[in-house]
Amino acid sequence: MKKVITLVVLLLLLAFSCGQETRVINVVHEDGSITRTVIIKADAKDYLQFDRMAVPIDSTWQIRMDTLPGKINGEGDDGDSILYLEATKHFESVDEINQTYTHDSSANKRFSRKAAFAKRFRWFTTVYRYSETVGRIYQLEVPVANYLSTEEQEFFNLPNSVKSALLTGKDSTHYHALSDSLEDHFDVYFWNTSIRQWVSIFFDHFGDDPNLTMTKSDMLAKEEEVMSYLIENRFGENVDSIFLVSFGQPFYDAFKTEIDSTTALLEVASEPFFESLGYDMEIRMPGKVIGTNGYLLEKDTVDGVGQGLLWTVEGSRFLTEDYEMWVESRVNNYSLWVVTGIFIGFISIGLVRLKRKSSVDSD
Amino acid sequence: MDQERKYRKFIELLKANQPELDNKAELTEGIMKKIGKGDKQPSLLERVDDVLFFWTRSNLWSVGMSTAAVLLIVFFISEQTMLNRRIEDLESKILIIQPVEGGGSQTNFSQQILMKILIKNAETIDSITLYKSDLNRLLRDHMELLDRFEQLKGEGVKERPQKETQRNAERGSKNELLEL
Repeated sequence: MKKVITLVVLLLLLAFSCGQETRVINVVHEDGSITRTVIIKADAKDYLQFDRMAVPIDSTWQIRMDTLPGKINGEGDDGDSILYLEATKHFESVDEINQTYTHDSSANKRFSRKAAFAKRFRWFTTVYRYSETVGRIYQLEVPVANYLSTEEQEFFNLPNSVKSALLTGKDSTHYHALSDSLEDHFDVYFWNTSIRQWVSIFFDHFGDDPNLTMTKSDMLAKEEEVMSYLIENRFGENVDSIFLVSFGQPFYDAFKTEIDSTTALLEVASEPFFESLGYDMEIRMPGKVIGTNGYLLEKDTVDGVGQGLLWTVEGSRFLTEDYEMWVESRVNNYSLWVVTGIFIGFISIGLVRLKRKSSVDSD
Repeated sequence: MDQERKYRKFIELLKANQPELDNKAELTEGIMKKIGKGDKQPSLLERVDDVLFFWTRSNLWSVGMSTAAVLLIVFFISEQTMLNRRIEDLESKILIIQPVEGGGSQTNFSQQILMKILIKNAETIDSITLYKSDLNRLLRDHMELLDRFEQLKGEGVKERPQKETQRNAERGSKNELLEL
């Protein structure tokens, strides 16, 4: 019962998190500085408090607020209005961004986030690389690709707004079927990894107990049994029945306290997944993009200037794998092109003169 | 004295045997040219020419400079080819699409898993059912709270939220979460 109440509270938290949309736009400059703009649309002022935002924002940012017509996540009636907040700050380097992540008091403070910037001079071009990485939630490293088909994986990696466009577009039937199958496979992935994480936590804390006769492999071998019970019963009213059915009454009686502790620890470990406030991340680079794992926007929908690359940041994308959003771009060093061209021209003239001189001397 | 006489005789013999010149005219011309050049100072252009193209006089320098130019050209071509190939690969992989504004909530897996945990009947996963009496009580309490809030603010009650909640009440709320 206690576990059900905890989950109900989580559900309420999630329900409140639905009333807002956040987009973070990072404009990366050639000198490594970044101008970050955060745009939040919300249907209540509560979502515009600093500790309810998806990324760290404080009073040092330039903040502008307005009320605009529109809906949040497509829900609501025509004629509704929403609160609009735009916050901008210029960071001299990624170190300053990483400092804000270290002293994070936002809604996603449990995330482990890091930004990185690199610049490589290649004479004719300069290559820039920017990335933001969110560390995985569970300590296990289990690729989600093991549970999804190639098409499901591609669909899974899309930004949410792009998925919505496909689900309402001309091939919506196909994408709805793909979305449903992805959801089923993601359920299996989630519960599989949660079971393994539970076992891992149990043995990390209580593996040395002299009364424990079951090994980690024995427990992991029960994974299929636990999985089918979970899928059939959808958690059920009595959570403890999972352990009774899977591990037997003697084990359950001997380790009830440890089982409860491990489940509590797993709940704490899962909180970033359930409580995460999703947001869209857009990165705009100097020059022409030459490599990325993001998605190129057809045109900018925010201020009509430039093209950005888009990702969605939410707990499902980094449950068991680090989530890196990276992009590389190149800028041509035209001044060095001119210098090199002059040098090559000079060498060519010299060689022509040399050839002429040697032919005159031989005559 | 004998020595001196012998020396003079030897010199006379040498003078009598004159060298044979094949190209007398050319030799004379070449000597005259060199004598003529020796009087002129090199112009500024010639001096600059000498400085700039000093490397053409040395084999080592000319080979080195030519090699550097060729390497630069090869490096430029290979770099541009590699970059253009990366851009082409990228354009074939990147999905360029107009995203939908406000299209974020449909695929939130954490919410979907939580809903499945709490709601046993999967068919009603997108809907909730409320008793009408509970709904009416909720709406009444909501409007009362709004009134008290506006009184505290010192303003009149806003007409729009009231009309909206009344509209929702008339419609019934079988499958919608109300805006509070």
